[in-house]
Amino acid sequence: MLARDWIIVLVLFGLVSGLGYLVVEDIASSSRGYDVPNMTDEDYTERYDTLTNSTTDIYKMQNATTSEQGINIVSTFTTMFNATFTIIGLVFGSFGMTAATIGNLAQDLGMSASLTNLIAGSLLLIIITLIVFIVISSVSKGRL
Amino acid sequence: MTAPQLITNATTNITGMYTIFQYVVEVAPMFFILVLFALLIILFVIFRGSSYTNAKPFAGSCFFVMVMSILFRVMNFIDNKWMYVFITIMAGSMVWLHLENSQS
Repeated sequence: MLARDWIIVLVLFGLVSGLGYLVVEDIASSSRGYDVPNMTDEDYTERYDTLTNSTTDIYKMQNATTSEQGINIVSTFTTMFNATFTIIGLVFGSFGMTAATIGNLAQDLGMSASLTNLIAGSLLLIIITLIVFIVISSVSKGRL
Repeated sequence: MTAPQLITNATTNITGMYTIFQYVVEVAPMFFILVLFALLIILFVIFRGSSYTNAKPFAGSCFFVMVMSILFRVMNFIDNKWMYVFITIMAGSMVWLHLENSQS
């Protein structure tokens, strides 16, 4: 098992837990579902939502990779790889635009914002994780 | 003629299939949880068949049982916490599925 797989399964765990909670919330709703009271639990998010913690960690990894310290991992080859890391920085910068586009598209199709944020956000986190680990693996000796 | 005596002091008035299940829940509160766990094992064995992979049939059976657990909660047969247990097992099965696929 690679390190990137472990980060991805954390995101997947949070995604499936969140989707399950959305199903329960929809069924418990008085306007959309079967109007079953006391079916949702406010503490559930605090206890089982791993997506929030994973998101913080993954964005921290992304910032560390694109920051000055991240670029310095190439040490003496900084000049040679400067252009490469500029491109990598541009790629990382495009994630915000992608998330907004996916969100707008889904909302135009009539999906709810909570569902869109959950699915699009998780996909984006998985892509960021893969790219961060590809970058780190390319400048380190092992495949992480 | 007196009404037939139930085997416990249950208060459920049985008038149909739904109230029979309510009676079962009253005399044995864990019954439907055991049913769900049994269903999970049976479906896993059926889905697995003669293949040598475990994660995919487990994820399939977990999804079915998660849906059943939510429906059982809607009908007041199980508690909230057991519904959350089955949702969490479903999320765990996704983790297993990804790890098994990433190794091959």
